[in-house]
Amino acid sequence: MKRMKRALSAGVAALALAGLVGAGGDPGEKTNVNVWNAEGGEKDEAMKLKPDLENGKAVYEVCSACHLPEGWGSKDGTFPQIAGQHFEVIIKQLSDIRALNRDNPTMYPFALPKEIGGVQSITDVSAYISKLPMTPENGEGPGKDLEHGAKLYKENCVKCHGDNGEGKHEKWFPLIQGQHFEYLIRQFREIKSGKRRNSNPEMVKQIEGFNDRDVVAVMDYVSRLKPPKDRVAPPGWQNPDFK
Amino acid sequence: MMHAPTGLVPAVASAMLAVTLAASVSLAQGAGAAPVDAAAAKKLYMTRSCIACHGKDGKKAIQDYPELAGQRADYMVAQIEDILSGKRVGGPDGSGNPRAKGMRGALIAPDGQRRITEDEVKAISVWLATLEPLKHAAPATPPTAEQLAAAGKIFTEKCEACHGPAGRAPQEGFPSIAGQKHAYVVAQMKDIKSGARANGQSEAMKPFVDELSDADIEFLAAYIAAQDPTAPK
Repeated sequence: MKRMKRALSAGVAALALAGLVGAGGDPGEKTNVNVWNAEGGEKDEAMKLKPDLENGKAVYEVCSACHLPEGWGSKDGTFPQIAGQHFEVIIKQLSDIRALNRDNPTMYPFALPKEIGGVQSITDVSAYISKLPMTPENGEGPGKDLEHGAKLYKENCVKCHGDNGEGKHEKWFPLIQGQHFEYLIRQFREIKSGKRRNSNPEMVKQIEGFNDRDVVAVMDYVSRLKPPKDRVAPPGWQNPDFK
Repeated sequence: MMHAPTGLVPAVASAMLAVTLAASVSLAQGAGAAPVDAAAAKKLYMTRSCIACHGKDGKKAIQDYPELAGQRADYMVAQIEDILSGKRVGGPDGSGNPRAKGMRGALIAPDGQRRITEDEVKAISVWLATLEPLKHAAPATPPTAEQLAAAGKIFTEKCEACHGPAGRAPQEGFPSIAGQKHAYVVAQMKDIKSGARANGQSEAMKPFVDELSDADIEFLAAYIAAQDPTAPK
């Protein structure tokens, strides 16, 4: 059964790659994401390729219109910080958005091969982004319920996202330290409600019982987890590649 | 828009009216009373992410997004505000979401706050209106002369009154459409026909597109895209 589901999802993914799904806009047909992180598709292909950072820089130019040349996104959480994210995580999210596994109408046009290129470009730009130093000033929460947030984090999040929000690259668990609070809140709510369709079902189950206070408290705590100093840029740093 | 409060002494009221008129003149003509700080507007156009979809200087927009260079400022201001408020949507885009939701996602923060002020919307629009429109290259498979002639006849009968001859000289509140991208024009006609787009002057246009078949829409859009937006009005 499991194998059949996998084969089915790979089949639909292949259709999506061939441009038969999505491009013209039949919203009914989407890749089967019942199997979280199903094998196959561009994600697996991109993971195996050797990154070309020069091409990654060229591809990144279009991303920089929203994520900024530094990859820091916006403090108000409209655009996430992507600088310093794990290579594997960026590949997965970009491939998922492109295959309509993750709903993102603002980014979708730019995830398409006609804008950024084929699977090699996914590898290249993901490597480029993962190497960018992170913002020293991410957007933080209100800071009023941090003890509660810390307790929730330790009980629910550490196993996958790590003590300091560092994630696990080999498992596609994202680094969440240094992320903007408002972005974290939105994603958490969309994962909880099922709107973010490429969520890990284990997480959806884990956070089932969180109420509004819990959500704000734990995301506030996460927004204050800071990356190691050697991963953070000095204040006012500008990406020299785009000056 | 600004409304003069009642009960003002006439002199103040007429002074306010003059200011309002000057502002609408500058919106309608692109330049006019208030000079455009082109460099500042262009910077806003880049930092508010407009450039990502609509291209450098509002030319060569990606995919089926519209070209903006040379468009009427009053039309752009109204459309941007309608997109921000959610009044303008459309049929499904490539991601299956209502068209224009993607743009809204870039300009409205997760907490619902606008990321662009009304003045910034005006500044960007007035600047874009001053730019020379893009003249598109001929499509790879152009329509036949007969198809274009038939479309031209439909255009004269149904479209010209509001959009002007060849779609180059629209009435107030209507867009210039000469040379606009084929895919964009098709999408708008279909969205107005289906009711998916119902903001602004859509109601006025709906009876005209209701009578058009999909084939009519295709050729009409090809005719519109083939018009030279840079020709004298």
